[in-house]
Amino acid sequence: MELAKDDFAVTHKNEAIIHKTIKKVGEDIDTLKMNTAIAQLMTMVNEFYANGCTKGDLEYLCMLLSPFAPHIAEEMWEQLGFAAKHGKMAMQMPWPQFDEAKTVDAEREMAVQVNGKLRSTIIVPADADEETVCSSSRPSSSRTRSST
Amino acid sequence: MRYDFAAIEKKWQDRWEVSKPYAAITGDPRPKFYGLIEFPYPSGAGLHVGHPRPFTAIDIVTRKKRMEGYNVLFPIGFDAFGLPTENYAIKNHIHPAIVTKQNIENFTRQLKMLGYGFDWDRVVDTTDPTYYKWTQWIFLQMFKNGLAYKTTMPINWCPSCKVGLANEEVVEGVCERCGTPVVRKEKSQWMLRITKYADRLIDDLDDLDYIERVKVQQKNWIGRSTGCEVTFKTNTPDEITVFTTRADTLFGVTYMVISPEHPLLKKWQDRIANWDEVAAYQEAAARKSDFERGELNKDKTGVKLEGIEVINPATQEVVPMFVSDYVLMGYGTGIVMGVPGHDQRDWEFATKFGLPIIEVVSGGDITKEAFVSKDENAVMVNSGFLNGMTVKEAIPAMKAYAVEQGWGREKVNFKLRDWVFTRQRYWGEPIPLVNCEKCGWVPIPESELPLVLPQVESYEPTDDGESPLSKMTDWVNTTCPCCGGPAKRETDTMPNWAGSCWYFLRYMDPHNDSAPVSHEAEDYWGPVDWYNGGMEHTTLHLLYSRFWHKFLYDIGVVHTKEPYAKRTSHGMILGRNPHYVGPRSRCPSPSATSSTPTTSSRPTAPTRCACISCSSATSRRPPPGPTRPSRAPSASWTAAGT
Ligand SMILES: [Zn+2]
Ligand SMILES: [Zn+2]
Repeated sequence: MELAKDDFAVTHKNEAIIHKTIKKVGEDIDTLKMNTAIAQLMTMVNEFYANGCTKGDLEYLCMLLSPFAPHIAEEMWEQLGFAAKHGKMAMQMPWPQFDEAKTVDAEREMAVQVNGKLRSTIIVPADADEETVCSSSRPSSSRTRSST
Repeated sequence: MRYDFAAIEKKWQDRWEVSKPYAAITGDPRPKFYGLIEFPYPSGAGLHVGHPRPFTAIDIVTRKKRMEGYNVLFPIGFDAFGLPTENYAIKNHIHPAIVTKQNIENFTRQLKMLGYGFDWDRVVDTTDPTYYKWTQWIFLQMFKNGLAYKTTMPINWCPSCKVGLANEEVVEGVCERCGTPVVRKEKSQWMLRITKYADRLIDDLDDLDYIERVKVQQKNWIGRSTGCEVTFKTNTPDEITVFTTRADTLFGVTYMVISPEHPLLKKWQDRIANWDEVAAYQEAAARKSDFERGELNKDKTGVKLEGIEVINPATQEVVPMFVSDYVLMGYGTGIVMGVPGHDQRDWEFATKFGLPIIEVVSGGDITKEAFVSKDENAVMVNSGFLNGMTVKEAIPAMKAYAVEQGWGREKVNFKLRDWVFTRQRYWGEPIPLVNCEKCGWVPIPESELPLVLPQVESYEPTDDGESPLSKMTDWVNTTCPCCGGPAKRETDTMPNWAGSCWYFLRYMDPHNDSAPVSHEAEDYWGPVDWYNGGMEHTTLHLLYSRFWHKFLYDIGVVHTKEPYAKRTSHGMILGRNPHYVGPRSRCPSPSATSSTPTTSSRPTAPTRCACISCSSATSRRPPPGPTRPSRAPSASWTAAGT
């Protein structure tokens, strides 16, 4: 919580995982698959650590965590200032909505192989066509990461 | 950051206690959502691991529903009549109401510690007279509508608990609660005519969102089969009737078997040449439990009724009749026809007694064993006009012939029995009826409800198995509300399952003192949207409460035919053995059950009770009929007993 930036906006990089998690947790609760819902929340938190996060990101975490762990969710909610901001407990907030389009990863990591050997990995937009992928795999691409 | 859960959880629980974010508001314009869990039996031991699992699941569901804008009802209460409390009271000479109050306080504290989103202003307690007033009221409506009747019948009797048990409470021949082998005992009992609702309890399942396993188990338990009732003439003035789903095999009938309890035997006493032998056999059978006579009955016994002859209506041939304890009075008509060519049990019986075995369905070798194939395309032989037909064709053909000849009619049969609705115990709802010599059984005026439990000296049942209330002469002796003459109160109490038959309705309107639930509240909240609980309650609580609800629908108390729109059930968290019997000493004694080990189809527990009876018992199956799913008591309600 201390790591969160004091910003009420959602981090762009976390948008996909947040929307994916809203969708997954909602569906899992409706089918009593509580274990996979929790697993999804953990995945989201791990991404927050990796990407960095804002209070805006944690706002979603509090709401999604509320049905499972209401005490800690309310405590975080209050300490992050959302209780004051909304004048409500997390459990009284509307259940977050997800945007199907945003549940798809914005970017995807791809392996670049030359003659069957892994040369590097590249990050490309998830909806990139073949041509875009090929051009970014060339060494000139600024987004190429060395595999070694 | 350190998370001081003890302080933080307490802080929020205290806030919720005051701000009541879980309050359900009857009539609120938001859409309603009613989530339900099986209310606990408040045992002295407090919550155990079996409780939080189903509670937490629906807690999560309802929390999300609230956030989705629903007006949520997620209530809690206590199913508090039951034997452990009573036994504790007996031992420690404390009134069970005091024990119950303490246990409920402990449960409440523990449940609040877990932070569940219950609406604590709607708590119900089945032992509270303001609650059981309405349990008694519903029973009285059933009585007035002919659904409650008193009859003397052999019941399942637990000699250890000194209590009669419903079929559903006998697991593999032993008392579900204490593991003692169940015996048969003649007892005057109140019964509820659940069988009158058998068809609806099956048919109405179709529209419900229940997990398939629950539907299948309920259907098997009710056990509806369409068959044919066939009348046989005898060499006495009496005709006898049997029920069969296989009228096509009538040409293969070579003997008949009558249940030892059948009243015709007594009537035929003078005609039966070997009466002494028959009477001795009857006596021996009376000492066995239904389970021993059915499931464990490997060695077929019986006595031929010398002097009695039966005429097979299909062949006009004379066949002998036997008395045998594998035929139970409770199923069908208490008489069965023996078709040894095509029923393995009959084959063994016929072989033992040297009776003819006739093949009427071709395809097997009946000199070696019965041919019991379910193949509907097998061809009929040795069967007169049925010869050459397939089984599928022969069943309706024989039925039609029997109907035309006037000795048969189509008949639907059920395995479900009426529900034994009395217990000879103290800690239950008193049955609000009095017995008058002139007027018979008369309900007490509704204005006198609740009929509260009187204070007694001892909570123990009498040794002859009567309720401790029977010793309370001042309470028992009363006046008849009908004629004003002397009358006696019923001293039996209701079984533990009574209070849970309608508790979900009371949650909708828990403080109503003029009705079990107001139309307004029931219209708004009914039916329960999602009911989550244990698989083991499928044939007990779930069936019983559907029955009560259907009756309440019929008399206009509720507006839906079914109480629960959706049912999910989880398996059990098993303890040290699936009987949940506790100490080894309370396991069934080896002498009481067959020593022949049979295949167990029970769920496997991490460790099984080592006693021989437990390892030799099988899943309980009422004879005859399809296998019932095996059951073992749950963590949560087993301890409640009756
Ligand atoms: Zn018992
Ligand atoms: Zn009278």
